[in-house]
This record gives sequence, structure tokens and C-alpha cells, in this order.
Amino acid sequence: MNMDLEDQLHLDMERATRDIHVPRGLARKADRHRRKRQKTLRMATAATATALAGGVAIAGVTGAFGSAPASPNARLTAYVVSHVRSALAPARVDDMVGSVRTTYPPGTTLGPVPGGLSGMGGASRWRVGYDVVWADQGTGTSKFAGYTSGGQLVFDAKLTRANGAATETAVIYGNSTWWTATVPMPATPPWVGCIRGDAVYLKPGPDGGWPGFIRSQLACGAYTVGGHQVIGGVDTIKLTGGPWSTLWVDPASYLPVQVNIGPQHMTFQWLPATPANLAHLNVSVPAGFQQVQPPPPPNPSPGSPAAFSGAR
Amino acid sequence: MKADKAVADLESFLAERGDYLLRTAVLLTGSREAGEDLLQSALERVLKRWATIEGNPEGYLRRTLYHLAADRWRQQAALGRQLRLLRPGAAVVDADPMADVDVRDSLVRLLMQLPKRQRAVIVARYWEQLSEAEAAEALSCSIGTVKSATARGLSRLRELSGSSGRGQEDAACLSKERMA
Repeated sequence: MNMDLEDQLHLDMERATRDIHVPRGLARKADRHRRKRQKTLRMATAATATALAGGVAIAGVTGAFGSAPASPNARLTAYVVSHVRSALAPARVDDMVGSVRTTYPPGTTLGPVPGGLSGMGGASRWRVGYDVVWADQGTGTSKFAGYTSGGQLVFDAKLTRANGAATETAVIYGNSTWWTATVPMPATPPWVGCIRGDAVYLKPGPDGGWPGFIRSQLACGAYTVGGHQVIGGVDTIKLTGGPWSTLWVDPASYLPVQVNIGPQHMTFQWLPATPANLAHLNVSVPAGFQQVQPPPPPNPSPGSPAAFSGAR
Repeated sequence: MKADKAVADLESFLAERGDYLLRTAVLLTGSREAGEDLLQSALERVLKRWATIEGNPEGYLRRTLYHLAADRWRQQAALGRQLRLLRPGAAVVDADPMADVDVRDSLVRLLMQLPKRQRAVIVARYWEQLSEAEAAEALSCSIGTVKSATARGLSRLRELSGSSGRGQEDAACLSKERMA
């Protein structure tokens, strides 16, 4: 045995971790997480049983299309909608990290702007095929990553909110630049309502982001249970919301699996807010990138097709 | 309440031994946040079994840390596949997992290049300074396996100090059927 190497190993491990201290309250946090997981397991078991029973009803509804007059699925719809709204309530999603992948139609341009993401007819020059947004539902911190349809990373932008202001740091891989900017957050959302097209505005703050948006759309009453469909390996409940929107939810958790709004398709992941999952929100500036002035912030309007995604 | 007392007892224990256990978790996982995550998961297991643990929980907690670390190595492989699906072909520069750990000491960086089970044995023997028998208990494998994995790990570290390449896994430690 080489004693020098063993001693050096211990010394190096000691040095490498000497500034690491256990955070206060970790046992309490572990206890909360354990209780929540137990509760979720119990609920999932109950929900599965309900879904199995509901599956009969859904299958009945599906089978009834075209054969029965005015299928009485209003009660089933009310039940499912109520569970989805409840699953997306701030108290339920605030300790989750959500990931949303949005696939855009060809020719879509998007780009980070102070306070969010702007494009689809705006001044953005970055052509994207899809973006992935990671959001810490509890703090409202988000990261947007835009990709070409071939999967090339075009930009990364991290948005944090504090004291009525939004700070965004964006890294643009297309021209090797980055910028950072802080802008005041709007006191009230400029526009949130029942959609009648493919414009999406995600308000910041409590009950905002995709969870708040979907809750608000369900409250509009336009969605009805339209059967079930396998999406990403999950036998989801399908909710149709008129010609421009369809929502698929997991019957075990009632969390959205996918939503289609106009030509945009969004797929969701819901993860516990563990340090490892929160790390998905990190953005780092590569060495050699040049800092530049941020672009002007957007001016979203309800009627325009611009999708200003002050998203979380 | 019984559960509150368990949490309070565990907090007191962590005040004494938490830093050390977290440092072990960081060395096993390669990053501070993953280490915290691992320790939190181990604490959840300990809380679940609190009523059946007699005396000092450190031994149980240590074994759980090593076993959960092994579970996560398998999960990471699956997550990696999932992330590649989310970001196919993207020119993403993955964050350095050791970015938040002081790695001026090159042996620690080289340690992270070892196969994960060899790394676990090296951490048990030379960070925790467990005997071969204690390491075998923590890792749920035989003393012979600890000896051979240690020898291979040290040999690999010597190689890595001068060259690059990959070592062999020591599958007999922390094998799936031995998980806690």
C-alpha cells in the first residue's frame, strides 16, 4: 500500500469539503417531505381507485359519442376539472419544480427580453423549434432555454423575482453574448382571461405561471371530458376546450401531462423541489461571452398574437 | 408527539454529526446539492424507522447513505436518457458537478472519475477511515470485495494522476439485491 497516497486522499477530501455545513432544519424538512410523500401515496392510491371507477364512466362517455343523445358527462367533467384545479392550486404546486416543453410551429422566433421571453411576430431574431422552461413554483424563479428544431441550444435565460422587481440574466449562444437586467414587475397582470386564440400570457406571482393559467382557463368552463388517450405512456384523461385548446391530465395526480393551444404543444413534468431538481434552473455564462446591453422590454397587449411569456 | 420528538432528536444528532455526514454525501455524489439531497433522503428513511433504531442512528444513517447513493447512480443513468430526450443533440455544456466544492486538491477531482462503487469504497476507507470490516458492513459486501475494490481504486487513482481512461466496476458491493 502506498501510505502517502492514502494520507493525501484523506487530506484532500478534508480540504475539499471543509466549508460544507449541514443546513439548519434538515431533519424537519425531511420529515415534511416524508409526510407529504406518504399523503401523496395515499391520495394516488385513492385516485387510482377513483380513476379506475371513472375509467368506466369515461369509456362510457367515449363509447356514447355518436350513439347517445347529449351524453351526461357534466358531472364527470365537474369532478375532473375540480381535481385538476385543486392539483394546480398554489399550496399543492409551490414545492414543485415544473418543466414545460413547448413545441412551436415552423418559423417561430423567440428571444429573451428583460422580464421574460418575447417573440412570435416581435423583434426577436432567434428562430426556435421548441423551448423548455423550468420553474420553481414556490419562488417563481424560472429558466427558459430555447432550442432550434434540431435541438441546438439557442439561448438560456434565468428570471428571478424579488421586492417587486424581476431580474433576468440571458445567455445568447447564437452570438456569444449575455446580458442582465432588472425591471419592475407589473402590479397587476396586464391581461388574463379566457383564451380565444393562441395568445398566452402567464402572470407572475402567486397562482401564476402555467398552473395559474390552466386553472384560470378551467374556471372559464369551456373544458369537457372527451375520453382518454395515452400520452407519453400515461393513460390520460382528455379535456377539450373548444377549437383552440386541449388538455390531457394524469388520472393519478390530476396534473397536466400536455396542453395544446392553437399550434403550440406544451408537455409537462412535475418534480419535487429537491436541490438536484432546482439545479435545472441554473444558468451560467460561458467563458469568453461578451456582455451587451439588454434589449428593450416588451409591451404585451391582450389583442396581439405576441406571446409574452413572463412565465414560471 | 412521538414524531416531533424523533425530529427533535434527529436535529440534535445532526447538530453534532450532520456536517460530517453531509461531507460524506458530497464526496459520494460529487456535488453539494446532490449531497444535501442524498442526506435528506437518508434522513427520511431514518425517520420512518426511528422507532426501531436503538442507540446511535449514525450506523444506520451511514448504510442508508451508501445504499441510496447506489440507487441514485442507477436513476441518474435513467434521468440522463430522459434529459437527452428533452434536449436532443443540444450543445449544452453540463455544469461541472464539483463546481461548488473546493477541488484545488486534485485527488478529489480524480476520485470523481473512478467508477462509482470504487469511489464509495475509497470514501468509506479514506474519508470515513472505516476498517475493512466496517466498510464491508456499510457497503453490504464482503471484506474481500472491499479489499479488492480498494486496491483497484487506489491503483486507478495512481494511473489517473498520470493518464486517462476508465476503470472496472466492482459490482459485488451495493448490488441491487442488497439495497436497504
